[in-house]
Amino acid sequence: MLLWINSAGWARGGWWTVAGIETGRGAGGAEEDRSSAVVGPAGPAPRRAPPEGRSLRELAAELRERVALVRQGGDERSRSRHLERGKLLVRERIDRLLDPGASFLELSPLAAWEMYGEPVPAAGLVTGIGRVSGRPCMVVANDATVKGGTTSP
Amino acid sequence: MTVKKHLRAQEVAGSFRLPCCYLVDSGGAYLPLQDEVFPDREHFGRIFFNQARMSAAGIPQLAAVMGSSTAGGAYVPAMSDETVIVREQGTIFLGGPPLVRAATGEVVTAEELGGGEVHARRSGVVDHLAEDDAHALRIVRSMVATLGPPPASPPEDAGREEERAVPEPPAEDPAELCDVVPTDVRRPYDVRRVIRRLVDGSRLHEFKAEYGETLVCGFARIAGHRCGLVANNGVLFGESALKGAHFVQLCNQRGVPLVFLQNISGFMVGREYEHAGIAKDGAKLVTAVACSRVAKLTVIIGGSFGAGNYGMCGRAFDPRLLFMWPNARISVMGGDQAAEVLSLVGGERGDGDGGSEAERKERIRERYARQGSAYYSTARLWDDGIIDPLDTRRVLAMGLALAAASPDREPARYGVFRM
Repeated sequence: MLLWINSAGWARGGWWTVAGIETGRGAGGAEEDRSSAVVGPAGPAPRRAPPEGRSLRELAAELRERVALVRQGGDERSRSRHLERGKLLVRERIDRLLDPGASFLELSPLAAWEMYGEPVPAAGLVTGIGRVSGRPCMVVANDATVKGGTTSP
Repeated sequence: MTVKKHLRAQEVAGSFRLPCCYLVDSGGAYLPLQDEVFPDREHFGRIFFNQARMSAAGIPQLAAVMGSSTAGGAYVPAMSDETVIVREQGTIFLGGPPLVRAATGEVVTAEELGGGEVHARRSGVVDHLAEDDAHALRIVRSMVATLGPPPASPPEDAGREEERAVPEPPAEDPAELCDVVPTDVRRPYDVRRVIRRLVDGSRLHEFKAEYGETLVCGFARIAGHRCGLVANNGVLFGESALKGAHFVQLCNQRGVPLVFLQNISGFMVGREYEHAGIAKDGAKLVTAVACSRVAKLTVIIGGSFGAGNYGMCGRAFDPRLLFMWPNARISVMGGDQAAEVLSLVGGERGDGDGGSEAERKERIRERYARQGSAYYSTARLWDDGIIDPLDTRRVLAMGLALAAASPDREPARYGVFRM
């Protein structure tokens, strides 16, 4: 899923209300969105059947799974080392930067998906648009748990 | 893909005039692959070029250094308008301790070399010193708060300000989107089914409904914002392309942002159509889209094959945002056609020889299927992300809201339309 929201939940008084979007999701997907904490180890997903044979709903569910996987960032070890240093994980940082309840339009969360021999979640960089102190801003944030936040091609 | 993604974020920020907040925690270029990140035009250096140009254009550049900011990475905060660093955690230097030692023999810790205290008190590379991540982020929020509202539009434009209607949900339930769209891009369906589930009140003021019927054009509102929709409804004929070109000009004339819904099998081929000049009609649509000045947003909801991708504002035509549905397919032609064409021209080079003709064709189909998938595309930044179809309306509304706040006021000028 592309849109994620910070801890205060969907858009109550946030940008989306301002943008005039009705809150709540048609298919009750918001809960699934927030289940991103419960996913397996990072790694290439198993091969699936081609999209032609499956419903759009199934394909959307697969998308959510893959994005949730990528949202964990680097592997367990890098994440605990990052946290031990008293640092926040990249998505927590963005969460705190944005206005409470504002949503975040993440760009290309699946960049670098299955491109290299090893997973490089989100290409080690989280980018997207969200509201900060009342103003829509572009956020560009390194994920140091992925290859030390280094810049790869 | 890190550099490409960084540059794309800056490009999007530039097009919508969005202040940029960089949260820096980077070891710099990935040294084993330096030849692929350092030297070229669209490589690392472009990040700083963009920062300078955006700052010059009045688009604020703000940075928080929350970890390493090494070598080239050091320029992200240095090039920013205002910068904060986290004490005993953030470091900024052109060369880290190992490089310094190798170059001069000097032994120095990272903190002594370029820690928060150094840059806040001595070097002046940063403007604020934070105690921890949370504090640094509060300071960035405070920086943004001092920016005030975006520059007001000049008074002469007052009449052109977007009048926004009261947002209204579609009359037909958007949740049904997944049921009304076949995932096999070869299966035709009426794209109005999609449009009715995206736009306010499911109302489309359709333009030339009886002409060039394989392209649906019309005015609608999404979350109260006006837009001109251009959506494929079958293979493109000369008439469809002419209609599209006309409609794109109309939207520019009226200052209405364009939304393209791509589901293209391609332009019609064959003697009759070539003789009728389908190439020049396609070129008219491509010209109109390329020279368009209103904001363009593209969603690939099905196939995106061949030259139709260009006429329908594919990546090369600078849509401000481009998203894909998970069922989308993108390639120069469909796998079946490619297998037949390559087999006929006796090409099939690079696929390895051997095997029967059927096996060779199957290999080509497989390759097209793999390289044409939405995931292959999004991994390579050919788009700005794959979205759940149910989020389409929300994403378009956000794009249109941002576009309304950053209109391009230059009138469109077109080149020569081949008649």
